[in-house]
Amino acid sequence: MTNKLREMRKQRQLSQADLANQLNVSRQTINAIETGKYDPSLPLAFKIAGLFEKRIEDIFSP
Amino acid sequence: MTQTDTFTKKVSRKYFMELGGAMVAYAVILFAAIPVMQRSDDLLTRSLIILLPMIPVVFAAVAIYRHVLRIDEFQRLQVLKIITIAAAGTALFSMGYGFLEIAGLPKLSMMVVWPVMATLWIIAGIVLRVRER
Repeated sequence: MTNKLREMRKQRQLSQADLANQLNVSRQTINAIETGKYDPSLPLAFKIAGLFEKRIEDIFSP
Repeated sequence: MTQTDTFTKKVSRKYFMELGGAMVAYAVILFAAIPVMQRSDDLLTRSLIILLPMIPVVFAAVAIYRHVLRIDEFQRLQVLKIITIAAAGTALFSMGYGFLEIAGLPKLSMMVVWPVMATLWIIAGIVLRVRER
């Protein structure tokens, strides 16, 4: 899957650690998602979408 | 320098306290148990005394289990990969060396198994981290 997480994070001027703190996950996880090494679970994808006030499909695509 | 997130700090602190406490208790009980055990001739008494350090080892195992439940989904996947490599490597080593013992090589103590697993656990962890960068 590809995602726009890094782009959206930078638009809000958040560091990976800031985003990790808001999602209650590790910075390692944020980095893994942004670099495409890891696809988040559905609950985490929903949390991310909720935080950015977007639909999941606006952030993640196959 | 990479900023550490709050989640990792919180989880690591709890793990350090729980596992660290268990390891300190293990060392104290072990050093106390050995001389006490050596003063007894009865096998049952010696066995029960020398098994006392296993009580904090159980707490250490529980600490590791609780840590795996606390970490996030990606970290849990990383731990699964690491433990799989360590367990498979240990199984291969113990089975392979078992065959070598049949062939005539010196018998090894069971005490060797855990250090082998721990070493593979550490190596797998390092390799995975390096590959991530």
